[in-house]
Amino acid sequence: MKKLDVILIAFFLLIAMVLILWINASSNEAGEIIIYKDGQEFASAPLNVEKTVIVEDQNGGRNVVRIENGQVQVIEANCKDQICVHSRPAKKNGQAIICLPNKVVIEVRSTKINEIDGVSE
Amino acid sequence: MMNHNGIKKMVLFAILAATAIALHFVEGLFPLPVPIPGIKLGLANIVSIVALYLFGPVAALTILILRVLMTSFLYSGFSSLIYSLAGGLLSVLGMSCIWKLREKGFSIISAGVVGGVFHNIGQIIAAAFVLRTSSVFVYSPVLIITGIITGVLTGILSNIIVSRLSTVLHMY
Repeated sequence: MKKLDVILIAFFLLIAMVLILWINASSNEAGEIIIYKDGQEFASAPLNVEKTVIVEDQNGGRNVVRIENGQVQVIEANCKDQICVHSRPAKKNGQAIICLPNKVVIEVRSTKINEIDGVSE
Repeated sequence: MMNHNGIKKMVLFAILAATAIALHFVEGLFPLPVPIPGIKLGLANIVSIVALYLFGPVAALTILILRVLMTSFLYSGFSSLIYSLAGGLLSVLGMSCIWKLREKGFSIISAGVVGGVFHNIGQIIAAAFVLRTSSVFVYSPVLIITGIITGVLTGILSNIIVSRLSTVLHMY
C-alpha cells in the first residue's frame, strides 16, 4: 500500500464521518412517519400513537408496519431478503426503513415547524 | 481470417466475463448477515480491476456490461439491472481514473477502494431514483465505510491475480 492509497482511504473516511455528523445533526425526535409505496405516498401516521399499518399490493407484496414506543419497525414482510424486518427501528427525523423488493419506504419526518421558513416581507 | 491477437483477446474477454458471472453467483450463495441493503463483498469487481490493469478501461467496461446483463437475466431479474448497472458503471469510471493516475502513486488498492465506494454510491443513487426518495442517503456513510473495507480486500486480491496473470499472458 502506497502513501496516496492511505490518503485516499482517509479522504473517504472523512466524507463518511461528515455525513454521519450531518445526518445526526439534522435528526430530532418526535415526528410522524410516511410510508411510500412504489414512490407514491401510501399512508402517514404520528410516531407517538401505537398503530399497525399493513402495506399490500396486487402483486402479493406485503409489509406489516408497527408504530410503538415512539419508533417504527417492520414486523412482518413477505419479501425474499427480509432486510426491512431486520432493520433497526427508526425514530429520528430522516431515518428510514426500506424494502427494495416490495418498493416500500418508511420515512420518519419531523413535525416541528422550521423556524427559518418565512424570514421577512 | 481474424488475426491471432483478435482471437486471443476475444477468448480472454469471454473467460473474464464468465469468471465474473460465476463470482457473482458464488457471492449470492453467501449473503452477509448485515441488515443493510446493498452490502456485499464485491468479488465480481475483482474481475473488473484485473481487466482494467491487464487490458485497459474499454475491456473493463465491456466485461462489466456483459456481466451485468448476463447476471440480471440469469439470476436476479430485470429489476436489479438498474442497481447493478449504476453501481458497476460508476465503479469502472472511478477505477479508470485511478488507473490513469497509476504512475502518480496510486496503487491497485486505491482502484479497489474507489471501485467499492463508487459501486455503493451508484446503488444508492439508483435506489433514490427507483424509490423516488432521498431518504436512502441515510445509508451512505455505512456504505462508504464498507466500500472501503471490501475495496481494500478486493484490491489486494486483484494485485496478486494481476501480477500472476501478466507473467502467464506474456508466455503466449
